[in-house]
Amino acid sequence: MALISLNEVHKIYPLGKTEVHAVKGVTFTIEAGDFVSIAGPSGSGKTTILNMIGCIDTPTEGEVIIRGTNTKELKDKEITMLRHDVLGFIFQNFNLIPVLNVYENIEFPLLLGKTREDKNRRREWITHLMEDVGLIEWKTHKPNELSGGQRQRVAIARALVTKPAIVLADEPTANLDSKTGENIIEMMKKMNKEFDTTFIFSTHDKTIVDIADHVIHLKDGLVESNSRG
Amino acid sequence: MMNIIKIAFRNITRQKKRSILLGSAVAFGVLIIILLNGFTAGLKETMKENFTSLMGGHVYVNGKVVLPSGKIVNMIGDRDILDKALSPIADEIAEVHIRAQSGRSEIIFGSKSTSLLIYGVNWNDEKLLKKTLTVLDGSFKALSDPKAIVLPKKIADKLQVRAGDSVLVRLDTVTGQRNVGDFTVGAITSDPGSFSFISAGYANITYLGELLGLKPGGYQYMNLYLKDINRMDVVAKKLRDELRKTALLEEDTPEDTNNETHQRSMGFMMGGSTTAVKPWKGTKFSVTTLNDVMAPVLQMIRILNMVSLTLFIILLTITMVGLLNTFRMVLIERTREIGTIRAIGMQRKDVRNIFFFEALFLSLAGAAAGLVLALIGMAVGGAVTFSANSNMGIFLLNRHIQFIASVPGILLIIVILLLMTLVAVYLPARRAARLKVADALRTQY
Ligand SMILES: Nc1ncnc2c1ncn2[C@@H]1O[C@H](COP(=O)(O)OP(=O)(O)OP(=O)(O)O)[C@@H](O)[C@H]1O
Ligand SMILES: [Mg+2]
Repeated sequence: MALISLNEVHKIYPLGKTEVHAVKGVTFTIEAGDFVSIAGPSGSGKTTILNMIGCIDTPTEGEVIIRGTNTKELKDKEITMLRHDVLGFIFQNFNLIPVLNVYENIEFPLLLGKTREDKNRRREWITHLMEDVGLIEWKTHKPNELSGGQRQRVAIARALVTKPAIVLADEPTANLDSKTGENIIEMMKKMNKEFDTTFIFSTHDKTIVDIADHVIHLKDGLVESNSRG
Repeated sequence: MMNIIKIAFRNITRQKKRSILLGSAVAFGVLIIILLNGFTAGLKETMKENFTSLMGGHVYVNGKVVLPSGKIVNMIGDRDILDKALSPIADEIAEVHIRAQSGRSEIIFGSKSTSLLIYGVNWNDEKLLKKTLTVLDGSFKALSDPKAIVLPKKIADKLQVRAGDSVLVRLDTVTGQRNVGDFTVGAITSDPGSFSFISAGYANITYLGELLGLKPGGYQYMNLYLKDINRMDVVAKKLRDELRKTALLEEDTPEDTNNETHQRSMGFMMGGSTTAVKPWKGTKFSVTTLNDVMAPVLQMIRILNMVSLTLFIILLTITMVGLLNTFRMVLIERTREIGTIRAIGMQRKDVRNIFFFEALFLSLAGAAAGLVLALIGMAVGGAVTFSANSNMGIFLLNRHIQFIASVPGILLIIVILLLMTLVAVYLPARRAARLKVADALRTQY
């Protein structure tokens, strides 16, 4: 069974008196452990599709099925729990919490969960992640004391801290220079291998697309090509 | 939950100026209301104490007797009836003061004279009175002289007398005859608890009674000083019920009562002779209490409390509007952040709770600051010593303004404040909790 499957998904945004048909019937599946890129020009529907996979938006029509669960059937509370337990998020604008330092930002999702694991083990795990993303010396710094690349690395660690099955990254490199952007994608790839986490990232940068082992090309709200291998 | 509280707490420090401003507004409101409440509560107690010493007790028994001439005089004639009526309530009574009272009399020293009111008291019983009066010249020891008189400083200054001087007093007997007596000034006192417009002197009840034409051992008023001031109305009722068994009660014959309380407080200047409406036999008793006498004062304090409550509500409303607007702003500022934490997995109710806690912390911090300032204010205000002859005498206790901070009152204020805070922040908090995650993440802020 596929980790994620989209069946004839449509998304129509109301826009004043008219509507924007952003996604016009998209069907694809994503396998566990893949490093997936959703590529396409601006306005092609990348963000919209990632939002629906990430359960932060709902399809107007069609279904998004994650690990066999049809997300349509869940209440907000359950969806929030699903996001917490199964999904990790990396944002274009990093979206760290300004009042928290690096360590606390990474720890944050753990504190939202129901299960309380041992404090020492938690600290070890966060420290391990900080080492992985190379931020151990920045542990007590606040986000505004970090560079863009560093911030995005904090975000990667934060996305992984709950050991999610899937990490979604909407244009994670768009606010970074190309060198730093490549580093971030490399790092995500490394995590993909280390933890066997499925990564899905969107981009319109062609050089980055090549690192992915499953590329879905979108155009005008439709899948233009879908190649795995 | 701890995490939510921690975040809320840190959020306050994000916009320090704004938080301090809001906190100050809350602090100001709390300061004002606690100060005012402390003042009125203190005033009430001060007035109670001052009235108690002024009136010479908590429960007052008056008597009226119709003379053969048809004239009504203030006098307790049937002393055994009263004594018998007192025995069931003996446990409640701390001190019994019997008094006589001259009408407005003229006191003369050399070529100077002035008018005053003289109470005849039994010095051995009046421990409370001695405690209230501050001796400026002479001493209470001189009061063993049966002709001794204690004068307030104001009168002594007018007459330019000193302790030890002899003065002459011209007064009317209870039957309206003129009489003259000579007194020795035993002590000159200031009475911080007294109305400054009532110039009262104190003399020995035996001697004054003699001058007033009372029978030996006779008196006009009996004042009861109770062990528990809060029992005064109960005790008064019991006493009335006892007296009613064997004697007439003024309270039962309203046609010639015409507001005893008023008469009693105004009667200081008049000695209390009125024309008979309907003659009766024996002593007609009347029992009044400190509460009756203080009714207008209590009314004034109630009004003061209402004014301060209104002020508090106005200040609170203004502050709460400020709070509401602040959290609307916070909602806009943090929209994307809320989207982020919701995406990461924070539940709606926790988003709402962050807002609630943040606002509550702000209000609590403000309240704490206001409370501390109010306590300091009370300590400072209470430390100011007023002049002994200050016109504010009745409002002062031992020449100080008394403030009383009531713990339940303060708690009530804080509870009201916190409830209002929750109300004010409710809408922004709810809107924050209901933000659509995708929309929130898309905003540019
Ligand atoms: N909330 C919205 N309301 C109305 N229209 C929207 C909304 N969000 C997206 N759209 C429209 O839907 C279409 C797809 O948008 P989407 O953001 O998914 O594209 P994208 O591929 O992510 O583009 P970009 O590379 O610029 O981020 C666009 O035409 C966009 O204008
Ligand atoms: Mg996009």
